[in-house]
Amino acid sequence: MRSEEEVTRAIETYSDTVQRLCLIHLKNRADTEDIFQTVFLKYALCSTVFESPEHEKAWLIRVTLNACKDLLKSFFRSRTVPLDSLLEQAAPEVEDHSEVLQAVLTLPEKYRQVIYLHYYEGYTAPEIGNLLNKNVNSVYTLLNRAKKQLKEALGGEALG
Amino acid sequence: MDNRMRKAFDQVHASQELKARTRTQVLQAMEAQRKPARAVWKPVCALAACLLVVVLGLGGYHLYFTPTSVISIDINPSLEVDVNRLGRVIALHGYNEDGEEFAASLDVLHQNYQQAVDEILNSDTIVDCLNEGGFLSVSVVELRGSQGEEITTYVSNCTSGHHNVSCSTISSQEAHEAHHLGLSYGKYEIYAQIAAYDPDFTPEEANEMTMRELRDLLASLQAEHPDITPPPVDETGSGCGNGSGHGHGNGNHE
Repeated sequence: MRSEEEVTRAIETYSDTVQRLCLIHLKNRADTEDIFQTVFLKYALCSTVFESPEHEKAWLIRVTLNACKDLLKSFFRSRTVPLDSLLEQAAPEVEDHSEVLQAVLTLPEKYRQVIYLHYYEGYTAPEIGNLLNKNVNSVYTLLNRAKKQLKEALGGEALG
Repeated sequence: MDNRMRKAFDQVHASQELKARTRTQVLQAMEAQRKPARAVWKPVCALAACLLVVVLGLGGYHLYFTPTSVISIDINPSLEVDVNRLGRVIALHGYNEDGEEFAASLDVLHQNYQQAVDEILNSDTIVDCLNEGGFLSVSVVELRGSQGEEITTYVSNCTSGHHNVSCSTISSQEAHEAHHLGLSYGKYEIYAQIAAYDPDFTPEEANEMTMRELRDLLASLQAEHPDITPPPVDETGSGCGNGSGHGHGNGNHE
C-alpha cells in the first residue's frame, strides 16, 4: 500500500489526465467521480514499482481506460444522457476550441481514444497498441479513419 | 490543428472539489484496508468473550446449584434443606403437607446454612412442636465433599440445649433409599428400625406420623420384642445425638 503523500501527489499530477479520459468515454459527472475513486484507490493499493514517470502515467491511463470500459459494460448501468450533457460536462473548463472537442466527442469511442492518446498524449501507434492491447496495424487503421472523420467534421481542416 | 487539439484538451481540468473528494475517499478506503485484522478480530473476540461468559455462567450456575449436603429436619413437618459447596441454602423441600407449608413460610434461600438452621429451629412451628412434646430429628447427609461433619457439628451445637432432639449424619446411600421410599432422611432412619419389628409398616404410614409418634411406636415395639435388634441405620454416620438420642431419652414422653 502506498503512502498518503504518494496518493496525494498522484491525484495532483494525474487528475487532469483521468478527467480527459473520462470525458472521451463517459457521459456524466457521477460516473467520472466513480472512475476517479476506482483509479486512485487501485493506485494506492497496488504494489507496482514504477521505473519512470512515463511508466506511472501509462499505468494510470491503462487503469482508467479499463475502469471506463468496465463501467460501460456494467449490466446494471442504464444511465444514458444525450451528447449535449456530455459537452456540458466539459463546458465549464472549455473556453475556446470547443468545436474541436465537439468534433472529437462526436466520433465513435474507438476513434476518440486513439485520437486523444495520439494527438494529446503524444503516444505512437505501437505505444497505443500496448496501452489498448491492440494490434499496431489496427491502431494505424483506427487512427487513419479517425483523422478522416475528424477532418470531415472540422470542414476539411487537416490535423497535421 | 494539432495545437488546437492540444489547447482544447488543455482546458479540461479536474475540479479541485473532485480532487479533494477523491483524496478523502481514497484515504478513508486505505484506512479501512489497514484495519482488516482488527475488524475481523473484533467480532471473534466479542464472540469468545460471550462464550466465556456463558461457560463461566453455566459452570457457576452448576457449582452453585449443586447440593453437596442436605439437612433433614423432622418433627412433623418434615423439611429438607439443600446446601451447596459454599454453605448456602439452595432449595427447601417439604416432605408432607405440613412440610410444604412450613417450607413456603420460610425465607432462607441463599442464606448461610447457619442462619437458615437458626431461623428454622427458632421458628414458631418448631418451637411449638417441641413445647408440645414433639421430637426433633436433624439428619445431615453428605452428598459430596467434606462439609457434612462441619454442618453436623454446627447443628449439634445449636440443639445442645434442647431436649427431645437428635442429630446424626447419614450416608448418601441411605439418603438415596429414603428418597426412593418417599421419606425424609430423618423419618427414614426411624422407619427402618420400626420395619425391622413390623414388616407391614409402610413408608406412607411413617410419612403421616410425627417423629414423636414414630419414636413412641418404636419404643413400644422394642418393649414387645426385646429379642429383636433393630438395624443400625445410623452406624455409617457420625451420630452426635444430644439430649435425647436414638432410641433413648424421652422416647415415651407422650
